Amino acid sequence: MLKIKDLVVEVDGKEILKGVNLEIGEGEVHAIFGPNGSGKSTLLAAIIGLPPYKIKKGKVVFKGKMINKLPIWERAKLGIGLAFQNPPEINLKMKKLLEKIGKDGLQEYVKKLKMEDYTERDINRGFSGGERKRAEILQIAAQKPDLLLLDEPESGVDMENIYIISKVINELLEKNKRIRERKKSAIIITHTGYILDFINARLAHVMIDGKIICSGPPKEVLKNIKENGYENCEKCRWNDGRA
Amino acid sequence: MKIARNAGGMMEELEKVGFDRKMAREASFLAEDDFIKEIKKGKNVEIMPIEEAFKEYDLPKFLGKKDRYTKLVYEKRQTGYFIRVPEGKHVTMPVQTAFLLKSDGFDQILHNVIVLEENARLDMVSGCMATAFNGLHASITQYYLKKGSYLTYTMIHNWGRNVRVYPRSSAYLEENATFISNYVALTPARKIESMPVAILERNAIARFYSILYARENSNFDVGAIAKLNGKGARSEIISRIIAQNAKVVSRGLIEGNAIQAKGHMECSGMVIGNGVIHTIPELKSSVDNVELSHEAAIGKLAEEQLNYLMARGIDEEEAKSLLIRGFLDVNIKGLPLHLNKAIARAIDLMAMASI
Repeated sequence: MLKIKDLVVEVDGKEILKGVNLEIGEGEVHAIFGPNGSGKSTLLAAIIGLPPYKIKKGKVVFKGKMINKLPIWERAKLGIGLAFQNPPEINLKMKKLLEKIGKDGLQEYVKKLKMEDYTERDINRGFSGGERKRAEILQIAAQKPDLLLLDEPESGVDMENIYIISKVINELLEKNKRIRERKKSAIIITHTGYILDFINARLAHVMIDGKIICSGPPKEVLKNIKENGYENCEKCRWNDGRA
Repeated sequence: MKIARNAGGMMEELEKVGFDRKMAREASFLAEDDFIKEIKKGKNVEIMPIEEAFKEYDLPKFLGKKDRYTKLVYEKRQTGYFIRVPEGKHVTMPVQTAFLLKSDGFDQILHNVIVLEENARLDMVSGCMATAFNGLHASITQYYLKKGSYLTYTMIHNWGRNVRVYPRSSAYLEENATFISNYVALTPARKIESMPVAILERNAIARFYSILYARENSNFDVGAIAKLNGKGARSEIISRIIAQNAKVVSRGLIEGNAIQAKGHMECSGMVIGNGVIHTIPELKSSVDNVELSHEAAIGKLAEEQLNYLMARGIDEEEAKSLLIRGFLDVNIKGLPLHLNKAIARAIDLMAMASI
């Protein structure tokens, strides 16, 4: 589904990603851990094409197509959906946007995400942390992407909201189907790993200073980080040297 | 904007400015150039050509500043309407009026008077449009709102690139009267200059909303004046303005001349391309114990918001138009739902059509 090869990304002349390699197969969910400023969000931005990030080197290949130079909306149309960590407030009724994204069967998700009272409101205006996250997932549900990019979907969100959004994310990832039949993939950025109690990830990667330094089973990797801190990740036994 | 000149097309064009025969309406008035094309009487309102009203009534005086255009109206008035709602009558369906400037180079000179007797209520939709290539529209409109009456007046303009527009209006609000004035101008015009003035007695309320989209070298100079002369009088002047390769001067003056008067002015502007927005808000207080405030913010299309919409698979042009649409979308307090919808429709048809 997604292949990232030796990706180097700059912001204002400063290298943020320093050669990232990552491969996500059809139906796979990967988690990315890492300290603040390690380049996790930049990686997602580079995949969807959000400025001001500039790809200096390397390739982003989605469904066999190199997408490095495609504009944002074309990448989205190809099937990439990003749930923003800090979405902006916009003078535009949520309903109008959802109509534009325009896929069917959305009403069911509006209900599941408890957004009935929000679609007539301006996007994110006066929304609480949990409401914003629910609004992001609702828009993703409207897009029905093949690759979900979830940037800290659980940050600033209470238990009840985590439960609500996880349930919908799992649906979007076709968790009701058998593993072999699942076609939807995801990258989840998480600080706490908390969301992984609700969404099963196949693999976790640790990103430090613009590089993926370790990849392994999510629970083990997380346990290792909690016990030994990020600085010891390099020595962790899951480090397969891919970085 | 190209405008079809056949009759069917004309009705559609008139619908854009709120003159919609398919809608339930109390009464209507339509003038083309200097000629009254339609006057439909209502059960609950009195409506007649201004000429007749001058003979029948002792009409109130114009309270705004006198200038060459008011002089022009007094000397060369061609037509206009007089509308009066009897005491205590609540008119549920709107009165629709429209002025069409049809002949190239024509100077359209009008005088309108609206009187609401005590505790009367009326919603008006007033459309103005031009199919003429160039021309002039000069007018005086007077509103006289007696005690406890309530008028909403929604004016939708659709001029042409070479049309010059000088409406002059004044409103007198007796005790407890309410005046909600909405001005929507979304298509280009060479020049629009409009500054209605409202004089408010005790506990009267005047709200002015302007939704303006100036493009293609248009030059708009618009605003409102509210004189809070009675104790507890209140006024709001609120505008949303987009200047795209065009110039807009947005003025406002609220005078607090009596105790417990309250006034607020708010202007949000968006500049696109070589646009200019100049806001001139003025507050004047001549007694103590009044509350007057203003806020203004001018920005551009926010890149972050644009990217956000594009990340949903919406291309750049469409994302821009969505943001413009959203920016102009103001829910006007105290205006019946169907009129808020008419404004939304005007925005969809006129502001969005050419993006």
